[in-house]
Amino acid sequence: MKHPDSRRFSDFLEGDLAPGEAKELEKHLAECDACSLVFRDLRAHQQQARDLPDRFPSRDLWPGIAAAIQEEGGQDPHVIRLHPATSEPVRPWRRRFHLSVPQAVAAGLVLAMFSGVVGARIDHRSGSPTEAFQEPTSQGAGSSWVGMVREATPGLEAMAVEVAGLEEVLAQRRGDFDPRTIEIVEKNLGIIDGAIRESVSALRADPGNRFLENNLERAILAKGEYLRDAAFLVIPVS
Amino acid sequence: MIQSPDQEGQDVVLAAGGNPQAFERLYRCHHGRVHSLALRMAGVEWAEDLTQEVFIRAWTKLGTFRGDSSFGTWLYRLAVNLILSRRQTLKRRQQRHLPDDGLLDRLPARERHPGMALDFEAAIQRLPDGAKQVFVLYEVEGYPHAEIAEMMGINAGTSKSQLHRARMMLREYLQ
Repeated sequence: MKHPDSRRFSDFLEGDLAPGEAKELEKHLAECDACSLVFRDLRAHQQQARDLPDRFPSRDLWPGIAAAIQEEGGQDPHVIRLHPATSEPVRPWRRRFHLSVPQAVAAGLVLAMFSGVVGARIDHRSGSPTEAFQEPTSQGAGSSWVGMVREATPGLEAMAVEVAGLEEVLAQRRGDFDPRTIEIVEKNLGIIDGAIRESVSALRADPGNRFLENNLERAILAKGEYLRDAAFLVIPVS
Repeated sequence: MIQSPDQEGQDVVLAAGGNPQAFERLYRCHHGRVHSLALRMAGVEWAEDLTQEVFIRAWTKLGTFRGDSSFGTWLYRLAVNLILSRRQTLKRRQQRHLPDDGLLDRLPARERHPGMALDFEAAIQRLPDGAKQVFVLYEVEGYPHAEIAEMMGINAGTSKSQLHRARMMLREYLQ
C-alpha cells in the first residue's frame, strides 16, 4: 500500500485539498490504520489547540502598567506637557490645529453644529457628563466648562477657550446637518466631556496634581481632535 | 471581566482621551488573552513583561485606533507584532540563560507510560521558535497563513510548512 505524504494530512485539515484529492485521502484513511492513527492525532491536537483556555498572569500587572503610562504621559506626543509659565512649550495642540482655509471652514461648521449640544445637552450616559456644563449661557455655550477648566488648571484656559470660542460662534448652524450624525457625534462628545468633568472634579480634590492635569489636557485635546475628524465625516443635509 | 461592545467602545473613547480608569477596564477584559499569547509565543519567562509592554504600547497608540475592527482585534494584532518584533532580543537573552540551545532535544526521552504524555502547553513550548509561532498564530489564534506570513516576514508557503512541522513534532512529543 502506498502511503500519502503526511503534508497531505495538514492540507486536508486546512481544507486545502481539491474535492477529488480529499475523497482519495479519505478512502486511504479508511483502509490504512497507520495513516488513520496519525491523522486522528493531528486532528485531536488541532482541536486541543483551539480549546486552550486563557492563561492569566501570576500577579496583577495593572499597577506596573498604570505607573508606566503615567510616566509615559510625559513622553506621549499627544500630551501637552505642563511647564512653568516662564517657558511656554510648543504645544502639539497648536501644531495640530493649523488647518487650511477649507479645513477650518469644515471644522467650524461641525463645531457650530455641536456647540449647542455640548453646551446645552449631552446626557445619554449615566451621570450626564455635561450637566455640570449647563449653566445659563449668556456668555455662550462653552463658557461654563471653560470656567471649570480655568478654575481647576488656569494654564489650560487658552486651549479650552479655542474650542469653546468656535462652539459659540457657530452655534446656530446645527440644523444644517443630518440628525443621525449629530446623534452619534453628540454621544461621543458626551463621553469625552465626561472625561473632562472627571478630571476637573479630581483636580478640585487634589489641586496641582500633574497627572490629573495631564489627563485634563488630553481630554480637551481629544475633544478637539474628535471635532476635527468629525468635520470631514459629516455631510450637510441638502 | 466581560464588557458589551457598547461599553467597550465607550471605554476606548475615554481611554483615548486620557482616562486611565477606562483603560484599566479594557486591560481587565483583555489581559488574559494577551498574556496567553505572550506565554505561548515567547515563553513563561517573558510573558508578563511582554503583556505589560503590550498594554503600555496600546495606551500610546490608542489615538491610531479608528474602529475599523473591534478593539480586541486591534489589540491582539498589536500584541502579535510587538511579540514578534522582540524575537531576536528574547532569543539573545534566552541564549544567555541556556547556553546549549538544543539541550532539551538531546535529553533522554521520558519513559512512555499511559497518562504521562507531556502537557500540551509544555509540548508547544518545546517547538522551535518559527514552528511554535506559526502554530500558535494559526491553530490557537486563528490567523490565516497570508496574515501570518505578513506579520512574520515570510511567505505563506513557509508558514504552511512550519505549521506542518509543528504538528508532526507535537505528535512526537505527545506520544
